[in-house]
Amino acid sequence: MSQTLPHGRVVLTSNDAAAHAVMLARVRAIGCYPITPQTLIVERLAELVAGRDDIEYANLESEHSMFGYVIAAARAGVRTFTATSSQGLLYAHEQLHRASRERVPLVVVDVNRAVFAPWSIEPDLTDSMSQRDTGWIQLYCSSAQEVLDSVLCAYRIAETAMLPVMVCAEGFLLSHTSEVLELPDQDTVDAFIPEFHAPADWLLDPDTPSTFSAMPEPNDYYAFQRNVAAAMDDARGIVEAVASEFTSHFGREKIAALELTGNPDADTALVAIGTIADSAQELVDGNDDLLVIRVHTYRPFPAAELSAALARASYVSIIDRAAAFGSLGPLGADVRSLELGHAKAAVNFVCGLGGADVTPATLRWAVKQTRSSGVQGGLAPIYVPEGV
Amino acid sequence: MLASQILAETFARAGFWVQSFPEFKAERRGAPISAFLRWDETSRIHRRYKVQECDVLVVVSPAPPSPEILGTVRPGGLIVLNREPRFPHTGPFDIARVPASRIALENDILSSEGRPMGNVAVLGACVRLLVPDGLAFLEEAVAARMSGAMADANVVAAREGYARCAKQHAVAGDTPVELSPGPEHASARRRSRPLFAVSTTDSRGNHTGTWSLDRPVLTDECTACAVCALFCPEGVISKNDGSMVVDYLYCKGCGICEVVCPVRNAIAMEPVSA
Repeated sequence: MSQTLPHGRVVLTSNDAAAHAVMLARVRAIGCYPITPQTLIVERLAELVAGRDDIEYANLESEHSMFGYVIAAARAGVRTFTATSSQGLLYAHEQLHRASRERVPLVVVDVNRAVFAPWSIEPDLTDSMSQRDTGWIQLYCSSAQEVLDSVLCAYRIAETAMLPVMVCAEGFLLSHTSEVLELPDQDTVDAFIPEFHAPADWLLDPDTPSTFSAMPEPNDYYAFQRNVAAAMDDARGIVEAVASEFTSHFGREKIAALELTGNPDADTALVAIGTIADSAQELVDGNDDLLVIRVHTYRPFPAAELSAALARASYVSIIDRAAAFGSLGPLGADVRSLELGHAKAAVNFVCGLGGADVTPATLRWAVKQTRSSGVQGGLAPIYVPEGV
Repeated sequence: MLASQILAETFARAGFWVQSFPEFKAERRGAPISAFLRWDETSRIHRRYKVQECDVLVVVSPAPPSPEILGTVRPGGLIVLNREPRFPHTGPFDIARVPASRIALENDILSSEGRPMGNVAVLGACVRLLVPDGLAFLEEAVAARMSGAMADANVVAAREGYARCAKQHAVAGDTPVELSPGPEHASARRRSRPLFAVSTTDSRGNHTGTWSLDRPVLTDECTACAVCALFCPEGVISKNDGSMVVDYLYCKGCGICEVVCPVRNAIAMEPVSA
């Protein structure tokens, strides 16, 4: 395997695209633990890192340790990477809370895979969407190009906001799918991602001993949490600014919060996330009465942008590929929390769990149900029946 | 999976937008799997869902395709087989054959277990049938994804596959392919599904024998000592009426039985297609 990265128009999977982005970002510490469908990312990185003494590649004994490793490495002032899926992410759950509250600018790729039980290696978004309250910025991708571009942007976002970023890509539908993309060269990326300079009072530095994250008195604890909340709010502007700079620097559009396609004044809107929104492009072709909104940045939730995008829609279908039992789906609950008083119906659908196929026919069915429901949308999502 | 990626890269080099993806179930590495390729002349491919029907079916494995797989080919489609003798069936599609395993043997393209790897020779045939001007792109794609002697041998295999593929014409005596009744089976499965996540299917329905490339064949030398049955990790060898029997429905073809057999020439591993 060549040590020189290719560049230009190439055919890569999203897993390969993620690995190349990590190398282009000049990561210094990589924590690894294999899990399908993510494994090919760390395998590719092992090949690319071989023979390099400026990059530490560590095989850890679990995902929990792996997140502990990258947190510690980042606090020592180096740029890090790790990747996981499903049970691995869930096993690391408590480290996720720690990473955001300690303001660690990790970049992690979660290759979305359904959660146990029963066993499945197929895609759905329940693994990462169920981590939505852990204080991580979450970016959901719909192509290999977007995985590559988002990982590059993620380092800029994380190190500016001092918050961890999770780049999410559905297993197989993206991770193992080869497609055409543009791979930038090293110099272009170097001009976009400066060296990581951690704030001095945050850095683990043996010369200036400090105690980190020890037990504070309640009002101090509360103040730290408010700081995280404020940092997440500020991250909206950072995501926007980094995407805009990426677009002009690389000459390729980088979506920030939302991607809108179709007629912005349409009476009917479909809100989706990940690859489902890409498949929905087929519904836009030749249909003047449909606006498709793809949510790319899910946390911080782009409430203002979504409210504006939905201002003229009378019928809103919200498509989740994740389960949140006993409530609306994650995206459904978030969209329904917006002021949608003008809409006649805003209906949440859950589909595609465990890799169940979501086709344009599924989405047309959802839009039709929304237009004929005659109700605001109910308090529970509609689980799309099998075979639709 | 690699074959599908190389073909995707070939189409991309020929100027198409491509999308190629494998389908995994519970196979181990090295088992034959399905992979899919979409290509489009004009725009990026947005279809992020499975391929249920295809225009072209490429069978790299030397084993003949099952009725289930043949049933996914649209009327008017094309089937490309890694096969030397005629495929004695007919249907609403064109059939082309390429002796890909033979080409692999001739060029010493073997897996670590010594099996001929006809993948790239089959791709040569695909390029001839689908993008006749594209042989150079296939050679470039092979060179980009392989290195050294392996790349050189596979470039030759690509050319040989391109040159030695031929469409076959239906003759009297060909039997029409029997297409499987898919939807009824699916609804029966839906009705019998349990309430809890115990098991959605009877695991006996998972015919792991389809993963195998070779199978153990017992000869007259076999003394029915049953050492093979003791070591078989799948438990598919048993003693019946004083002789050993292999259940090929579940045999994964690992060959451990052949290694542990204390009798000379009692077990021979033979290709599944034979």
